[in-house]
Amino acid sequence: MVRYLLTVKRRETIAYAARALILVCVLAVAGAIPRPIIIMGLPHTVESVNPKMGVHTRLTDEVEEWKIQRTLQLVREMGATWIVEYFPWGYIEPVRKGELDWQHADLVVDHAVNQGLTVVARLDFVPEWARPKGTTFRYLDEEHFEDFGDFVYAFVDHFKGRVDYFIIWNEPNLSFEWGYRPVDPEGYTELLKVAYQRAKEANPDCYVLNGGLAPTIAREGNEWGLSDLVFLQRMYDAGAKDYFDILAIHAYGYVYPADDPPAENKINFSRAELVREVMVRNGDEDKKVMITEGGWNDHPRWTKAVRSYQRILYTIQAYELAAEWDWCQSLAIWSFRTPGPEKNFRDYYTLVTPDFILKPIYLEIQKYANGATDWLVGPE
Amino acid sequence: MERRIGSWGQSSGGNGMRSESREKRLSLALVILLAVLTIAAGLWLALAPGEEGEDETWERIQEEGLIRIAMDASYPPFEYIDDGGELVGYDVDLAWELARRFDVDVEFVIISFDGLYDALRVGRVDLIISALPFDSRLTEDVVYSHSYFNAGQVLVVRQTESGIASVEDLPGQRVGVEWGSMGDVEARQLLRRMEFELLPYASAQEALTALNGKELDAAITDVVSTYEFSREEGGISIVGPPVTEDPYVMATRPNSFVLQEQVNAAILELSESGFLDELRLRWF
Repeated sequence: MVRYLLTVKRRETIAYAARALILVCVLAVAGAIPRPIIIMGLPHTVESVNPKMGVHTRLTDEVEEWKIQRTLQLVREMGATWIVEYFPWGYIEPVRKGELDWQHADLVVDHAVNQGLTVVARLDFVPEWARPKGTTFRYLDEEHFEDFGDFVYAFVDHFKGRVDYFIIWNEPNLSFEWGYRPVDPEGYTELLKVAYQRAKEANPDCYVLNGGLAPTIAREGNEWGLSDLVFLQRMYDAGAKDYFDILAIHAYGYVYPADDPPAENKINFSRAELVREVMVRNGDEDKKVMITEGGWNDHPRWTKAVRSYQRILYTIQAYELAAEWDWCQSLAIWSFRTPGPEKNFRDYYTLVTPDFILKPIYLEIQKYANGATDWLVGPE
Repeated sequence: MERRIGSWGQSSGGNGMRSESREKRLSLALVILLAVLTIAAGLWLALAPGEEGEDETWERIQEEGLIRIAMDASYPPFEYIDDGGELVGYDVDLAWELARRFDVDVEFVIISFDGLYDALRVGRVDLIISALPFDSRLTEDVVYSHSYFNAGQVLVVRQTESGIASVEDLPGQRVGVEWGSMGDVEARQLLRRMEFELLPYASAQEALTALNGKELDAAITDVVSTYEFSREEGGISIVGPPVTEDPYVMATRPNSFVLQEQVNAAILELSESGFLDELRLRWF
C-alpha cells in the first residue's frame, strides 16, 4: 500500500511540475509578445512659415507611448511649433503630499522636445487629499495654496531645461473652474502669487503665465462666471502685475470670422485685442500674450459652431492674425487630438481623430504651414 | 513530504480504501457547507432591504413635486431658446413628457455642456437631458439611460434610387459630403478601400440638394440635417445601417436607482407608443 501511495504521490508531483512548467511557458510567451518598440531618434525641428503656430494637445490620458510619440510627430509635421499640455497635479501627486510620479509627464515632455516642440505646461487639478470631500477637482481653498505651491516648485524644478512655460490654473473666471464657487479674482491672484514665487525659486528663468482667461461677457454677480476683461482688471487691482510674465488668454471665434471686429459684449477671436487693451491700460504693454486655447467648432447643430469649411478658413486666418500681432507670442488651437472620442461637440474641435485619421482641416493647415497660398479655396 | 505520507498512511491503520472513503466524506461535507453558505448568501441578498427605497433623489422629486433637469440650450433642434425667448426643442418636449408621467413639474437648469456632469455630481440637478452622447469613460461616474436617438452619419439616396443599399454599393458612384465634416472624414476612409467620386459641398443641405438634382448618386450626411431636408424638400431616403453611431442618452447619479428605472421604463414606453417618432417629426 505504501508503494501504491508513493506512486500516487509521484504522479501528483509530476502533475504539479507539469502545471508549473505550463505556467512558466505561458508567462514566457506572454512576455515575448511583440510590443511596439519606441525609438526616440534624433531630435527634429519644426518647419513652418509661421513660428507662432501651436496646438493644445490632450495627452494627459494617453497611455500608450507610441500614441504619444505619433501625436507629437503629427503636430510637428503639421507645422506647429508650440504645444500647450495639461499636467494634472492630482495625477502626479495623487495619494499623498510628497509622493510624486513623473513617469507619464516625462514621456510626454521628452517626446515633445525630441520633435522640436516648445512645451507650455498647464498646472491644476486638485488631488483628493488637498480638498474637502464632495468637491470637484477644481476646488482649492486657501489652506492648500502652499501645497499647490510646493507642487509647482517640484514640477518646475523637475523639468528645468525641458519646459520653460507654466500656466497656473485654468479659466479662473468661470465658476465651475473655481470649484463651483463664485469667481474670485482677488483669491485667484493670491494663488498666482504663491505659484509664481515657488516657480521662480525652482527656476528663475522660467515664464509664469496666469490661468488662461475664458472669453465671456458675464457681468458682476453672475452665478457662472465673470467677463475676462473685468476679471483681468480686478487681478491687476489685486496686485497681479508682478506675478505673471506672459498673459494667457483663450480666444474662441464661435460663429464669427477671425477678423470680425471686437466688442465688449461679443465673443469672437479678436476679443484678444480688448484683453490686450486692459494690459496696456495697466502699464503692462511690455508683456506678451499667449493664446493658449482658441479656434472654431464645426459641430453640425451647436449654435456656436460654423460650417466645416468655415472652420478651416477661420483657423488659418487666425494663425495669420497671430503672426501680425506683435504682442502675441503664440496661438494654440484647441485641440489637436484626444485619446478617445469625447462623444460630444468637443470632438468637432479636433484636427486629428483618436485613431489618427487626419481631418481635412489638418491637411489644409499643413499646406498653409508649408507655404501654400491657395488655402482660401473653399468647396467647389 | 515523504514522511508525512508515511505518517498519514500509518495513522490510517494501513487501510487506504478506508482513508479514501473518509476523504470523500470530508469532501462531501465541504461541498454541502459551501452549498449552504451560497444559499444563505442568496437569501440574505434577496431578503435584504432593496436599494430602491433609498433613492433620495427620487424621494425628493416626489416630495417637492419637481424634477431638475440640466441642459445646454444651444443645440437646435434638441434644445435652444427660440425667438420669443422660450426654451424649446425635442429634448424639452421629452422632458415635459417624462415629468407628466412622474406627475411632477420641471425645473430646467441651463448650463454650458462642460458643466453638465459636474452639476449632476454636486447635486444641483437630478437628470441630464441634453443631446448627450453615451460616453463609455464615464460609466463609473453616472448611469446612462437607454438611448432615445441615434445622431450619427447616414447614407442618403434619392427615393427613386434602387441600386444603392449600403456603402458597399458606392464604388463607381458620385458621392457628396459637406466639406471637412465627419461625413467627409468617413467618405475619405471609404476611399481607402473602394473607388468613387467624392464631391465636397459647403453644407449638408447643398449636398442633399445636389443629390435631388441628380448631380450625385448618394450623400453621406448627419441624420438630423437629413431629416430636416427630407421634411422640407423630400425626395430622399436613408439606406443601410448608419455610417456612424452616435446614440443620445440621459444621465443620472449612480445612487438614483428608482429614477433610473423610471426613466428607462418611460423611454421604452415612449418608443413603443410612437411618441419618439412623433417628436422627431415635430422637430426635424
